[in-house]
Amino acid sequence: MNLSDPIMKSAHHVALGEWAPCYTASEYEDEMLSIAKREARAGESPAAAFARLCEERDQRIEALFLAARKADHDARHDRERDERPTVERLSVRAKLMADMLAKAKRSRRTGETEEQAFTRLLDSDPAMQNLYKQHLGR
Amino acid sequence: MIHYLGQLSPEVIRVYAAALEHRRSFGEPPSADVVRRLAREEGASEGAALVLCRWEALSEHGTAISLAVADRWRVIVHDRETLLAILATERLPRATLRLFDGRGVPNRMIRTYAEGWAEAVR
Repeated sequence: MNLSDPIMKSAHHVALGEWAPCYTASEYEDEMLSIAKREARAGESPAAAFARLCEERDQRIEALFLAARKADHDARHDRERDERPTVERLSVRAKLMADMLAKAKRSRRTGETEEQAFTRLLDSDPAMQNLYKQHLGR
Repeated sequence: MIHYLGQLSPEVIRVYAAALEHRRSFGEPPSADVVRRLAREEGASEGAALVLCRWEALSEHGTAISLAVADRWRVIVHDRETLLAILATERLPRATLRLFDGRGVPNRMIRTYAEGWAEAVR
């Protein structure tokens, strides 16, 4: 394995659990394909060369594959962490809207639709106005 | 450490290589339908190809579904190679895995079933 190549050096250490990935999963996977293309034998397609290298347990391919999986896992973990506050925020807003709708339903006057009651309360009821401000995140 | 990539058939690895090439060209992996067609053309396990290329597998209704989502759909494992592909990715599915005869495959048993497939399905 040529460890003077930065991506191979990274893959080697990531596969051993020594380093965190510093390339994306796609970059590690692209490097696997590049190796297969470079090392395809006469009459052998890159896909067949890739299959041969996997079967031969080529250390570079195994390291790159494991590094790609680790990078993929880390990226997914980061995405989930970033998305969690958004989900929590949205669920708070949904709860506030549900509270406002329930209040409008309870306060509905004869002949008044829920929408009309909602609007009336927004114009006249301080508690409803406060809920609406919270809903807007103000 | 066991690297399961080397235990996968050349047919399924060729499908994986084609999927990588597709992603390199188009910026995204091939659709499940394309992966299944490639697998059929190569004579590879469709289940294993879907796992490697898209982290998906076949549901009990024969449609490709994500292994990342735990929901009411069950993933049916038709062959040993699908389990080997799951092991190769070093990811644990959230979807419920079942053998084609209905028996469940808990995550902690994937390796056992893959290594003892012949006995498991007898």
